[in-house]
Parts: sequence; structure tokens; C-alpha cells
Amino acid sequence: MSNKKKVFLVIGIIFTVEFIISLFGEYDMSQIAAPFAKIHTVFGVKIPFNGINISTVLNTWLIMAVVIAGSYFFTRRLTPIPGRLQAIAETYVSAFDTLCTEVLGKKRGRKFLPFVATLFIFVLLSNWVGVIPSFWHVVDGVFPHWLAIEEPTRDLNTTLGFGIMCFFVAHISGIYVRGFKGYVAEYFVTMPYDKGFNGGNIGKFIFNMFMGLLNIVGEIGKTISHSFRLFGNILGGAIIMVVICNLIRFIVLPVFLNGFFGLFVGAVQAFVFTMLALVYVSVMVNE
Amino acid sequence: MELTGAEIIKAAAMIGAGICMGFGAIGPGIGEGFAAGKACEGVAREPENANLITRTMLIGQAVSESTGIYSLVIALLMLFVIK
Amino acid sequence: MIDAYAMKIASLVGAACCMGVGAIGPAYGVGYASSRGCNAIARQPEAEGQVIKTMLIGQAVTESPSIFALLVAFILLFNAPAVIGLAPLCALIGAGICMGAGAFGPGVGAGFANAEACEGVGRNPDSETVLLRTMLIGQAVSQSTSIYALVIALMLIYVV
Repeated sequence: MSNKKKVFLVIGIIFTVEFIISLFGEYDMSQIAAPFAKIHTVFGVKIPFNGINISTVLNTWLIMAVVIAGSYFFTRRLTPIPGRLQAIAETYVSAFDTLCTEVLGKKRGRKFLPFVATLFIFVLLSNWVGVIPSFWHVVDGVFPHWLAIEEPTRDLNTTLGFGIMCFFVAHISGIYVRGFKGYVAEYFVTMPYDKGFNGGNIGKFIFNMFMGLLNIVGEIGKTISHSFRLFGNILGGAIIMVVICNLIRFIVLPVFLNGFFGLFVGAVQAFVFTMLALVYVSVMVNE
Repeated sequence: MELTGAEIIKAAAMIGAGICMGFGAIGPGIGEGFAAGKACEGVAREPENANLITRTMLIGQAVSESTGIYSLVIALLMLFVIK
Repeated sequence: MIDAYAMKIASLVGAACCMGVGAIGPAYGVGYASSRGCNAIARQPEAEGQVIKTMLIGQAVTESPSIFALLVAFILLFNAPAVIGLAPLCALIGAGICMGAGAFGPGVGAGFANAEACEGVGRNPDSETVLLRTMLIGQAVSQSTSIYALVIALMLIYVV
């Protein structure tokens, strides 16, 4: 049997099984935007901040394991003439190398390459993991709900964590490059001061303080929009999938919808997220 | 069920916050889109200046987004400050 | 005066406002982008593949405000919290108006960016990657106001 036939066979088996199982299951429509399965205590100790989303944590660990194992197996035997796995890894790294050096310049681009490339592969796999049919989720009572494979990025905690991480990376590298004084002046000296103490300088001081407050709000808004964009797109796609699967019981259409919302939108949003992180860094770093 | 004045004010603030952020988002969205479109046109004409054009675009968008941020601030004030 | 039925009516009205108004802008943007894409292909038929690729990627980003509107509409329909009162009632309607109107502008704006990028790829197919990057950054920034609207709508529904 050729490789192509094997791939089609596996896909066919997956969808047949999912279809048969879905005939016996029923989605509860009121649960589509429900809060996540949470645990509030571990060994009798109460967790602060209203519990943790166990499903998100497990799926994040799954993706972390996949990324770590992948980066081990893809770079295990490095040879001058690349094999199949090494060629994939080299293509990936060189694509991001080009991107980083184009935006940040040769020297700094190399420094930020690991951060950007890792962020992309992590967000991409997080968006794509929802495509794996976790059909045991459909059958009530057999497995707990939190065992389902679903995107960690549909949880706001994950995306907001990524956004805050990008915020700190950008701002700390900004302080590192410009020095603390230059970094503060970026926000609070919109209009440069004259020499000496006069009325014009006082007016400029008031204006600069006002603009500085606006700049700070703008920076916070940047982080919020950065993380909510990913969250809204992935959660919206997942909800559309669930509703349509419920309406037509997994017949044909969900395959294409998974292709669009899962693979295509997931890849585009992962790229947008990574690009924006890179641009925020470059705005802070480049003179 | 009796409606008090404070409750009516709170309810009005809720609708007000919705209208404020909703209609406040229209202008900046269209304006920033124009900036992005013109930047794309510029990049197509002179691809070697792409970084400069992108940076100019980002600065212009940041300024035109400030009205959207005003709406956000006012909506948050209506949500959390008005009792 | 205000009971569970009134709350249900409010969430239905909110969902209708949200999706009805929120579909206008992104639909206009996507259509405008594809019209300019057709223009570009007509002028330079050999760049067809690149123009269509740029157009599709841009359209996927352009319609994300309408996906936010759909998200808020579904939440209003199926998962609105069961608190009864005048303020929560107005909050449901307000959330619908907020996300609906908030999806209008960013959809149109992102469509403009996508259209110009398609035209640019048609004129200059070699600079496709640079154009794609500029377009995605510009669209992402122009969408941030729709994301503020999403945040305010979710806060209206759940937090207050």
C-alpha cells in the first residue's frame, strides 16, 4: 500500500469512528460557552485565584511535550546533507531567521530568533490541536469532560499570559537598548523642553504628562488587543464548530469547517500573533 | 418590584457603555484601515522601503487609535465608577 | 415588572442587534477586497495564484470582527447569566449594540488594507511576502478597536 493510500485510510477511519460515535451523543447547547472544568483544591489545599482550568493545563503540557520531543527528534542526527526531518527543521529555522533579520537587523534578529520561532510553533500547535477529534468528549459520563483535547488558546489565561510575556520582553529589551532615561523620555517627552525655566516649559510639562498618561493606556491597550485577538478568534471558531456539528451531526461539512477554522484561521492567527510580538519588540528596540 | 433612581442610572450607564464603545470603534477602525491600505500601496511601489513605511504606518495608526482608547476609557468609567 | 421573560427578550434583542449590524462591515470589507483582487488578476493574469493567496489570507483576518460578533451573539442566546434586574437587562442590550457596532468599522478598514495589498501584489508580484507582512500588521492594528468592543461586551455580560 502506498503512503498516500495509508494517509487516506487513517483519515477515513477517524472520521467514520467520529461519525458513528456522534450518532449516540448529544451536545448540550447551553454549555458551548460555559466556563472551563476547574479544580479548586489539591490534596485538601485551596488554590488561590478561583481554581485552575485543568483541561487547559493538561493540553498545554501535551503541546509542550510535543514541542520538546519534536525538537529533540528533528535535530538528533545533524549531517551536512540533511535528511527528511532535518530539512524540515532547517526550513523552519531559516524562514524565521530571514523574518527576524529583516525586521530587527542582522545582530539583534539572531538574538530574538529563538523567542519568536518558539512562540510561533507553540501558538500554532495550540490552535491546531483542536482539529484532533476528541470524540470521547461527546459520550456523556464515560470520561470526565476535562479529558477532552481542546485548544489551550481558547482559554483567556493562556493568551493573556503570552501577551504579558511579549509586553515584558519588548519593554525590558527597550530599557536595555535605550537606557532607563531614554525609555522614560519615549513616553513622557512628546514635546522637547527648552533651556531654562519659563512659562512655555510649564505648558509643555502639562501637555507631556497628559500625553504620557495616554501613552501608558495605549501600551496596556496594545497588550489587551494582542491577546484578545487570538482568544476571540479561536474561541469563536470552536463555538461555530460545536454548533454546526450539533445541527448536522458531523455529516461532511465539519471536515471543511475544521480545515478553515482549525487549520487556516489557526495558522493565520498564529502568524499574526508572532508578527505583532516581533513588531512590538522592533518598535521598542530600533532607533 | 419598585425601581429606584439609582438603579435606573446604573441601567442607563450599561446601555451608555455599550453605545460608547460600539460607535467609538467605527471611526478608528476605518481610519486605521485606510492607513494600512495606503501603506500596502506604498510598499508595492517601493518594496525596499518596507520597514520605514511600516513604522510610519504604525505611528499613524497609534495616533488615530487614541480616539478608540478614549471610548474604551469612558466605557470602563461608566461600567465601574458610576454607582 | 422585570422577570425571566424580560431578560430572555433582552438577550434576544441584543443578539439580533449584535449579529445583524456586525455582519455589515466585514461583509463589505471582504467584498471590496475580492473586487480589487479581481481587478488585479484582470490586469495581470499570470499573478493569479499570488493574488488569490493574499486575498484569502487577508479575508480570513477581515472577517474576524464578525466572528467576534457571532461569539457574543451565541453567548447572549445560550449562556447569559441568570440575574434578574434592570441593570443586567440593559447590560445585555448594551453588549449587543457594543459588539455589533464595534464590528462595523474594523471590518471595513481591514477590507481596505486587504484590497490595496491585492492590488499591490497584482502590480508587483515579487514583493508578495513584504506586502503580506505589511497587510497583516496593518489589519491587526486596525482590528484592535473591535477587540476593545469585545472586551467591553464580555464585561457587560459577565462582570457587571
